[in-house]
Amino acid sequence: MRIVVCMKQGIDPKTVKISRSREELDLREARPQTQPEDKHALEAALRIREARGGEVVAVVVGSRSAEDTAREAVAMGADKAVWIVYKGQRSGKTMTALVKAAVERLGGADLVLAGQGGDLDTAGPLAGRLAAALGWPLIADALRFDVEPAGLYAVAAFEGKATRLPVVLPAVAEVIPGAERPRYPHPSRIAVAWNDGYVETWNAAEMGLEEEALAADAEMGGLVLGAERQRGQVIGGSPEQAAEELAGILRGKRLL
Amino acid sequence: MGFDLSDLQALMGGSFEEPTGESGGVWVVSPDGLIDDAMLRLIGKGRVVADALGGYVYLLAGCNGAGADTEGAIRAGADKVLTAGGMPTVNELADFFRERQPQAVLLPRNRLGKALGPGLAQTLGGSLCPYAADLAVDPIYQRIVAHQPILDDAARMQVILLAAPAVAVMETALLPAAFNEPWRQGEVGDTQLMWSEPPSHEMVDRPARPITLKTSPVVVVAGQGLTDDAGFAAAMELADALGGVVAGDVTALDMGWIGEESLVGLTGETIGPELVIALGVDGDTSFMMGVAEAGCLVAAQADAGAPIVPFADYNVVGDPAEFARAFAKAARG
Amino acid sequence: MDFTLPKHLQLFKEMLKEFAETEVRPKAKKMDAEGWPDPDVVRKLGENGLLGIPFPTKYGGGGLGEMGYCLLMETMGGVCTSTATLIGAHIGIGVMALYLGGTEEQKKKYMPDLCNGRKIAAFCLTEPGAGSDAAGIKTRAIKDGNSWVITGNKIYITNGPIADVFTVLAVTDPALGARGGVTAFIVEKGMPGVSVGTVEHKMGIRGSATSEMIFDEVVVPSANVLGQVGAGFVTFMATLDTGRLGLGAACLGGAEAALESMCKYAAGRQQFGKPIAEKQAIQWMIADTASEVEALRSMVYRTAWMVDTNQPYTKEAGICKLFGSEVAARAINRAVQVHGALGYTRDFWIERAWRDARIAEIFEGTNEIQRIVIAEQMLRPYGVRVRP
Ligand SMILES: Cc1cc2nc3c(=O)[nH]c(=O)nc-3n(C[C@H](O)[C@H](O)[C@H](O)COP(=O)(O)OP(=O)(O)OC[C@H]3O[C@@H](n4cnc5c(N)ncnc54)[C@H](O)[C@@H]3O)c2cc1C
Repeated sequence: MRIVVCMKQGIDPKTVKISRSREELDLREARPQTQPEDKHALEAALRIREARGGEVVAVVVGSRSAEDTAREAVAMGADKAVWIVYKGQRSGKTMTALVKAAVERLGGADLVLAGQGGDLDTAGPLAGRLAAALGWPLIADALRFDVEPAGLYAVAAFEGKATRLPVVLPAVAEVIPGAERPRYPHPSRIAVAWNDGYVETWNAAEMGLEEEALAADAEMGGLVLGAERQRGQVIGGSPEQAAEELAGILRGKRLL
Repeated sequence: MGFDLSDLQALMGGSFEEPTGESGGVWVVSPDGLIDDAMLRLIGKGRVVADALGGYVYLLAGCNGAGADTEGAIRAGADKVLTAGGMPTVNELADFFRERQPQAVLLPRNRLGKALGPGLAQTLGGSLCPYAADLAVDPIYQRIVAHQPILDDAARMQVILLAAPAVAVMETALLPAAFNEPWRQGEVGDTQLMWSEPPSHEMVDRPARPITLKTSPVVVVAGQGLTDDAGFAAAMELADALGGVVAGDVTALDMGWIGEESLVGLTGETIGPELVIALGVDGDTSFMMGVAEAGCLVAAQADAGAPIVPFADYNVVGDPAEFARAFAKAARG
Repeated sequence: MDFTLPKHLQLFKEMLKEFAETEVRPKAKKMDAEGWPDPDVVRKLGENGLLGIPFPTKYGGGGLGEMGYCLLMETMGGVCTSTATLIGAHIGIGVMALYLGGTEEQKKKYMPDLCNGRKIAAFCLTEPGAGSDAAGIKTRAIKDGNSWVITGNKIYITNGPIADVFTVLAVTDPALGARGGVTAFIVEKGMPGVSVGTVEHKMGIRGSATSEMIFDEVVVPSANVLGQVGAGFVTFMATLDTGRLGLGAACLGGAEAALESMCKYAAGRQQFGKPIAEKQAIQWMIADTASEVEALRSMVYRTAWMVDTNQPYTKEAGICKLFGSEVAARAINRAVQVHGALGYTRDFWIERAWRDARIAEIFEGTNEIQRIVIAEQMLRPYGVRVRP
């Protein structure tokens, strides 16, 4: 069984500031990181492999520093990683085309897992697109997989609870954080992850993809700034009135 | 000689013919046919976009429009409400839209919308914003621009959706209130389509990591201003209503309300949840540095001159226990 | 010259930070209060491969060298000095003695379990009459056929109460003394005659267990002679050399954490209507600490590189321990000052760090002994004999 996990290098949101004067993101201290959401997908894949064997391949699309994410996937336990070097704009459509081509070049896969997309990730979660592109069923909001004699089952979030469904392979699943936290990379894997033989470097041309197939479906415009944080506001009225008013404000901010 | 409306629209780049049939336009999809306030807001956003583009707003409702407030949908801006049986799969929805060539398809960012939107965009060769808080049309090029929240919605990134249809999966809670315009007119029709029946689900308990002080998005912090056990009970009630955890400052520890593991501040945990409600906490340095990373701080306590007041985003000056009870009620809706 | 950490060690550093914050920091206060290591923390250290970091993977180690080990000690030193001490006694001296002095079979037999935490190691040198004067040990090992019989008391043994494998130094030939008459042995917990004596009540690093170890006519097979008979003193002294570097790295972590906390608190604490960070008195404490921390970091990383590239490092490791322990003590002392009363309360970690820091000037060779070691290295080319 081959499980492909889509992983992406994003930016640690804690290292990004907003420059209000220039109305843009201040990326001077931005630090790349493997998108934490994707590590949940990798964890799910590793657990399936541990239960029923097989191979876990991480597919990472990105430019220069994305190689680190491919290596990190290996350090966490992926058997190998494919780093697709793509310097152009990586819209959701572009990413989907590249990952789909990689799955084909790998000789197919039984299961493709992807994370739910992170903050600052405008390409968005890839599972839905990949399922459509591959023509495979999509399992949304998967929290966990159970390997049973009868086959593979997914436990997926559903209306506040969860539902359990059989996985008909090949399939694509979007993995969201469940009960298990993604494992730490293991030192003995960290020690070898940068050695030869663990990460294959591919590019679009090698996979037979033309420019048109990779053209972005979306591009970034400017930033829209919300109101600046204003501290020290006092809400008057009776406790009930204050409570109602505050509830309204917090609902507007999606904090309730 | 002079401009009439169609000239003006042509100048603005929009269509100058009255839209006919069911092609083009902005489509709002309710896969399960439900039209609640969230859907009405989404229709309203569709209306704004359609007006800017010069086109119709269609509402497509699954499950035969069961639970569909078609009147409300029209008052909210829909020109035409179409119903279909069952709930669509990605392919069924794509087949429906293929010849109709919508300019934009709006889906609510719920379980169904999230499952359908990306696949729909992919299948139709359109463009996608998987998480949109707003949608606008740029006046020069008439392109549909989604606003995607970033950095916990501290700002929004404009995402220009280049290919048609522009599929936007929208966070309806961030949209303005729905229109309710009784003078609006619209049609109601049936597509005669029978989509798939939604599969039945074996329900199980949701596996999740236990929520802790460090991971909870909402934390209620109790302080000595709650005065007695009944006051602390109000804090617990509020935490329950908000689905958060209850914690305390040093004074709460001294009162025996909380254990060390629930202490917020430099001497306990430093936390950065989305929302902190501080009840009866006047705010010493240790506490304030402990919540410095919080997205929003609400303080309810009796002293208008307390150090926490200028630091908190919102203050309620008065009896914190009374406020907590009222707020628990308001939050439960 | 390139001062950037190799990529894999950058990832390791990130992993360590996350691990320490998630698995160790929440337990640090409790371990200090209870005066005992948390078994959960020890288990997780083992499961995640952190108890064998510097050793080759063929012995079950992490294969990350001395540099990796220093990063581990730096991270733990900034979060929980007790845990850093536990790791230091296990990896830095306990298993290290085995690695440096053991035969291939001994390494294959003992190291895998020690590296993954199924077993914990302790290093038994100090005795009531032999502290700084390590050559003055009295523990005796007498040959009896194909075995040795060990009798003696070791004191202040870190990990004593929780360890499974002990590297023990004993006199095998009193006539030869330290040069040839002292041998190291591998002793296991289950061997008859091995027992834990008095457990120390300490000022700091209370979350690491320190005790007396009693060896009462313990029969040890000859196969458990660590390396060669008579080579024990050399092995133990070489072990302490690398141990000192790790201790310097832990001190670096402690000093960095103090510096960070000083800056953060000074920026947030308002007095006289302004953050105290705006006062020059505070700024100078921060500037002095920052300067010392920078120097220490360069020193520790460079010495780790020397170890990993097989250069002699006795002097440098001694300097890391000496300078590191003093920098950490000064940094944390200043941090107490900057935090005012908060820094003096049991509730705040700085108070614990202050108590914890003191030991670094004493164990693994007191700072006086380090100065002797360093002076000896400096003066030897001039024909001066430096002796304690
Ligand atoms: C918490 C803790 C953990 C420990 N863990 C271990 C362990 O795991 N394994 C182990 O074997 N030991 C361990 N030790 C023992 C430690 O290494 C010794 O305590 C240390 O080497 C000093 O020995 P001493 O205490 O006997 O002091 P002494 O040697 O009696 O020294 C007393 C004072 O005299 C000074 N002094 C001594 N000789 C000279 C000299 N020649 N010139 C100048 N000054 C001198 C010393 O520097 C010191 O200031 C531990 C100790 C502690 C407190």
